[in-house]
Amino acid sequence: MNPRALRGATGLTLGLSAIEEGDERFRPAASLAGQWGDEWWTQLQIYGRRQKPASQTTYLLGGGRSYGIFGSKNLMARVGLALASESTTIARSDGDDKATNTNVGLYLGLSYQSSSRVYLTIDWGSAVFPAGLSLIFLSTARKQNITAGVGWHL
Amino acid sequence: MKPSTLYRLAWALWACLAPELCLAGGIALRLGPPGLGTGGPNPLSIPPAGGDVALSYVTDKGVEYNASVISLSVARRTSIKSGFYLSLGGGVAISANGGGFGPYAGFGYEGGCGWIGCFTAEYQQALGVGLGPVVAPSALRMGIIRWF
Repeated sequence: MNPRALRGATGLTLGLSAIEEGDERFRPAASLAGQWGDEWWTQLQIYGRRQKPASQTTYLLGGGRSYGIFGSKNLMARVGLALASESTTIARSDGDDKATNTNVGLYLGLSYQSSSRVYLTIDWGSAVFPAGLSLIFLSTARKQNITAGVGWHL
Repeated sequence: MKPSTLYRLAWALWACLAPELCLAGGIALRLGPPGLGTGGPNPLSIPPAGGDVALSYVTDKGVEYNASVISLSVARRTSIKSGFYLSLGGGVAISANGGGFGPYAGFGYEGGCGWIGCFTAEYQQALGVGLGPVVAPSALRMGIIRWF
């Protein structure tokens, strides 16, 4: 795969994601993505839920390189790193009980982007995280996302 | 059955038992635990269980046929025989929650060839719609691909 320039350069995308965490339950998420230059991308996804007395929030940040595939200007492979930060808070009368977990993993995905100043994107990718020492036996955790968004080139 | 039919059947059988007479390509055997929608993949079994095994046949034109517990799929690869590649196609996706038809993608690497074959590692993901809920199985697998 050779890095390919897509039409335009810097772009910003707002979208909605369905995020799956290995259990085939798709959680709604907000997505903000950026395309920097011709080959670099970043994406922030935020999702969670509140069910008193507990609330849970996850930030999923990814970034890396885009590669045009199969000779297409619109279809890209995305490879990069992912950072997940998950916070769970349980409200108690004697003070909140809060725990935060972070993990760094690999992002592997596909992205389709229309060729216009205001463009549509559809992404399908996975952030794959090592499951501790079980990675030796190829055990991983992942957060898969299916995202649809609208963006514009600056 | 006519002798000519028998001859043709015998020739077809021989051609498939001797891969060099079939289409040129490679056969990959990869091992790794599948993620079947039950919260994540378990560690790889020792010895590997049936679900931990995946087979692929890749033609020298970059078309691959995949069979594993997570999917039966046909895909096209961006490159073959060395380096990083991406496979994109479709087929049947299967998980503990059901199954269905949908897209398939594999992100892989091939390299480090020896007399047995070349090292290969691949992350596979699939989506399936049709039989029950949307399923999204995946697997990280490593193994050997032998080109002929």
